[in-house]
Parts: sequence; C-alpha cells; structure tokens
Amino acid sequence: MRYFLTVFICKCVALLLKCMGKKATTTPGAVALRLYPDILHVMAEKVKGDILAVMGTNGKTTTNNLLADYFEAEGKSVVANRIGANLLSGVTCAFIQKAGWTGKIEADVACLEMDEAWAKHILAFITPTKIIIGNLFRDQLDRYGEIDMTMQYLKQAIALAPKATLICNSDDPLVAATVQPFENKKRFFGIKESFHAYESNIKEGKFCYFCGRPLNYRFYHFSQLGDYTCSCGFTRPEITYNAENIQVFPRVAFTVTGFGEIELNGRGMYNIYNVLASMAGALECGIAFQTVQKCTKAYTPQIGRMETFCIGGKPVYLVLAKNPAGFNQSVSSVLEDPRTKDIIIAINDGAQDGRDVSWLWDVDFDALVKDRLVLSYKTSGSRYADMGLRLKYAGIDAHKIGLYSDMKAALDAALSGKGETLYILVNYTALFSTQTLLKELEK
Amino acid sequence: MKILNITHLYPDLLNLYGDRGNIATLEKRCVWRGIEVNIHEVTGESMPDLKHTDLLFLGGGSDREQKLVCSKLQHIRNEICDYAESGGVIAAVCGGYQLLGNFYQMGEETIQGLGVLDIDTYRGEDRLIGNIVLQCSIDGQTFRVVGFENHGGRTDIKKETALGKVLSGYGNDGKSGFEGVLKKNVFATYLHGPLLPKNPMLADILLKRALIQKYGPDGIVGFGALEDLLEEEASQVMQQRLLTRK
Repeated sequence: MRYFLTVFICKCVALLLKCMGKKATTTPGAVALRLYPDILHVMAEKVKGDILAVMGTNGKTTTNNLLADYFEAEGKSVVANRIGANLLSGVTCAFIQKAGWTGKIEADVACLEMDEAWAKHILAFITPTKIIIGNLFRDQLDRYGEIDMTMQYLKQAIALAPKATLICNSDDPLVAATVQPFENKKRFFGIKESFHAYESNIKEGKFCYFCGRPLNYRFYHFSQLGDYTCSCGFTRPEITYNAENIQVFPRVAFTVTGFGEIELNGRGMYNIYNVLASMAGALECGIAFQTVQKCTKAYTPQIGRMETFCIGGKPVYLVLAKNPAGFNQSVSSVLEDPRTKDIIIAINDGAQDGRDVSWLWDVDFDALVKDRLVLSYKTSGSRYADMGLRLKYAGIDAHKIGLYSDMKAALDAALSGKGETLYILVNYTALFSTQTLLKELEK
Repeated sequence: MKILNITHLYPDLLNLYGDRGNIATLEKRCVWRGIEVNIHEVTGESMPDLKHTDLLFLGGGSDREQKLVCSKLQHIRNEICDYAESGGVIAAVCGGYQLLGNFYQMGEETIQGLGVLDIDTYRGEDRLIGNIVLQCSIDGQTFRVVGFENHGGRTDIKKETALGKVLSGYGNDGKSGFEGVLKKNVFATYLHGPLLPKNPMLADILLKRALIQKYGPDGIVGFGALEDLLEEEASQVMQQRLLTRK
C-alpha cells in the first residue's frame, strides 16, 4: 500500500512540476525516497531482464542513451535516466516515470547511468547484471578530492555486484586497475592501434597504480588512454570489442573487428569509446549488431553534445565539457572542422560545475590559439574573466578577447562575426540557459 | 640580458590543480619584460640542480604522488635547506607547502617533511575547500591575493610568519585567520593552481626577489609594470563576490 501511495504521490509531483515547466528529473525521486526509502529496490525487482549500470567520468549520458536506443529498437520496454540525472534521486525518478499510476512497472531492461560517488549508494538497492565503465578523468576536484578516491568509490560499488559482467575500457589504465582485483566476468573494449597523432598534456594515469613506476606507452589515443604496460606485469587487458579504420570528420565512423561497420550521427573521437561501450554492453545482452548499426546512424546527440543550431544561415555548435579531458576533446573537435569559426567559451563555477576552475590551466587551449581558422574569442559565464586570462596566457592579445558576463550579449556579438560557423564551449550549468537562448534565436 | 632559471619540481607527479598556469605566468612575465627565462622540468628519477636554480617551484599532487615526491627529495634535504637558508627563492603550493614542513599527516601515516619551514601539518576532520581572499603586505606593498584552497591538513605555523591574513576563506588551519608562510624568500601557500596568473603582484615579487638574489639590488632596474587589466578584473570579480556579501 505504501508503495502504491508513494508512486502515486510522486507521479502527481512530477505532473505538477511539468505543468510548471520544470524538467522533473530528480525531485519526484527525492520525494519517493523520503516517503519510502526502499522504493528503488522494490521497483528494480520488477525489471524482467538485464539491468545495466553505466559509470565513468565522461560520456555516460551518450553511452546510456545509445544503450536504451538499442533495446527499444528491438521492442523492449526500457527504464532509463536519459537526461543524465544520475544520483540516487535521478535513478529513482527514472523508475517512477516508467511506473503507471497504480505503480505497475512493465520493464524488460533498465539502462542507468550513475555518478561515480553515488554508485555504491545506488547499488545498495539495485543489483546490475552488467556494469559498464568508460573512463576515469579528473573531474570536479573539489567534490571528489582526487581520482584515487573515485577509484575507491567504484570498487565499493563493484563489490556489491559480484555477479555482474564488467564491461570496461581496456585503453584506460585507471579503469583497468580499478577492475583488476575483481573475480567478476570481464569484457574489454578499446582501440588496439594508434589512429592519429594527438598529444595532450594531461595524462592522468602515467604511473602504475600497483607499483608506482611510470607506465610504458606504445602510443596515446588521448589523455591517458592508449596502449600501456608496466614492468610489474600490469598491462592493457585483451580487447574483445575493437575499433579500427577510424574516421572522425564529418562524422565518426569505424569498423568493429569481426563484426562490421559503424557510422555515428555525431562527431568527436571520444564518441568512438561511447559507441564501443554501449555496443559491448548491448551485445553481451544479446542485442544484434545490426541493431547497433541502425541506431548509431539514427542517433540524435543529447543537449550540448555537439548540438547543432542554424541561426541566420550560420551553423552554431553547442559543446558541453566539464573537465580538462572533456575540454581537450571539445577543442580537438573544433580543430577537426575545416571551416572558419568564431568561438565563445562560457565557464560557470556553480556547485554542479565544481567551484574550483583551476583545471582551465590543464586544458590545451594553446592548440586552439594556433589554429588560424578561429577568427575571434569571447568568454562568458560567472568566471568569464578567469577564462579570458587563460586565453591571454595561451597567446591571445588581451585586447582581442571579448569579455561578456552576459551570454546573450556574447551571442549577439559572435553571431555577427566573420566565421562560417560559431562554436560555443560551455560547462555544465551554462548549458541549459545557453541552449534556451539558441533555441529562441533559431526561431 | 638577464636570465632566470626556473626549476619546476616533478610536474609529472605534482600537477593536480593546474600548476602549469603558475609556471606559464612566471615565464611570460619575464618574456614580456625582455628577461630570458629557462624552465627546467625535473621529472622521473632525476634531481634538481639547485646551484643553477633562481626560482624553485613545487606544486600540489594527490596524497600518493605527494608522498613519492617527498621521499625523492629526502635525498637532497640538506641542499634544499641550504638553498632556502641562503635566500634562494621557493614557491610552494598546496602539497608542496606541506612537505616543506617538519612533518605532515596523511591518513594514519605521519610523513617526514623537508624541514625548510618550522611548521607541522595535522590531519583535519573535513577538507577545507573554497575560494579565498588574503591581504598581504610584502616588500612595502599591500595587496589582495585571490585563490582557491582544498586541503585536509591543518598547518600550525608556530613562530613562522604568515604569507597573508585571511579576509574570506579558511587559511592554514581554518581558525587562526592566517594563511601560508613567508620566510626569507620561501613563499608557501595552500592557494593552489592558477595562483600566480590572477595575482600578478605576487608573481612579480617572486621574480624581483629572484633577480635581486642573483644580480644584487640592480637586478630589478628596468623591471617595469605590465598591463594587468584582465588580471585585475578576474581578481575583482571574486573579491566582490566574497567580500561584499558580508
């Protein structure tokens, strides 16, 4: 009775919030947990088949949405937190949304992305059959302290699911080291051979997690991702799902060794890993490779993942990046585009962004500054001046950096720029307000 | 032409909070003034050449990496102490600050520091995290320093002199109202990452002290002011946010 009542009340809350124009992706979940703390456990029990937990610093939302797409394309009923609300309340909310007014849940599969620090709390209620771990980058340091702590959190979460298959990125030594002690069944995805020469300054896992000696790299794909070994015996795990013949512009395309071609309706080489992660998870659950091919081709990027607008005939790209690794990937996506462009970079320091913006100095903006196709720079967000200063030290004349505390003013100025395109790089809390502005301008 | 040799200690290990920004600031502010600058990155198993160092920089790292650096530097502990004692310039940030002391606690462990500063760092309950503003009076100049701190340790600076007074934030131990240490030419602080880009006054004091140490009082002849409008704006934005709220 308590269960039905809770679901009913929370669905009312969600409806009310939606009427108020809110997204209702966490609040109903938070209310549910208050009314009935065990509700997530009860609801998760009703899922008939696989429960997939998606973890890792970057790319969770893309990976999880692709996964949900595959299952839905095969006619399955899926519970998924598609918008990326990935704390306990967000995951609970995904189930509430799926439930009928009487609390009935008809779900074959659950695809759930989880915040690394929250995963162990979520897995106290849900037992996944598959855990997908994409990568571990430095993220929001003031919240997590440091990457070692994130690895501990993940280990605590994995320990709660000894029967789950671990589906992991072989190219990331931090991920490989995290899962090594576990007896769980494991499957690895990765890119066996080097496909371009991109040298980034941040290499988080330079040292062996086990013995502390420097890892030997045959090559890097980006950040610490690459082919590594250590004299103590730690080495890149054997890859089951491998990408080769890789292309990144005008869209991501590659061959999965032994399976066939994949074409993604999206850009950014980091998406190779997102596709591999979701595909590996899906194939391990019995999804057909053809379904993966079909869905990646039809994929619609989520908000801010190279989201495209057309304003006054000019293509405008909105790119979300939350940490140095993500930002470096965004920068390389800008560099892949052979057209001239104006750029706005907006940095906020809200609680969800991480209040510390020191990481801006770990982003390779120097590469951007060297590109002659970038015609102008503007900065915005609550830390617009810090961002401007960062560009000054990357080599831009301080007088040529447009400083705008107001995003609307930055957009108006940038849209009249000479570039064939406009790129807007934003961090998390700057994303939604910028998207709203762009949608209005597009009308 | 004047030349400054800046030695960056173990950027491969101590690089947690954008310390690249501090080095870039020291480098560019020399270059903009026509001072030649060499950056020596000491990495892996190699050791710094203190005889040819005019400014030694020590950044912040994770606990594990900080401990690795500390054990490496124990081999040249005496040389580092002599360097500091004879007026060599050191800028130490965050973890680098802690390991200049007598000891620091990490989890259940107590790790021997280098003893350059007579300070002790104890483990605190919570981490002290947030934006911070200091008031500093150095070399006849009074100015504000803006930064970000994130430390679990509480540092007792005993009889050492603080780098600045905390106007907003936690500082050394969250209660004394003081932050960092300034002893001779050793500048040590919890303010991490891009401390120097946003605080050009402090960056210039470090450079001037290094020039005087190397070339004598004439070393700073012609050391002119630079345009720091963007720096000032970045600092003002944070000062207004932190100081006008109260």
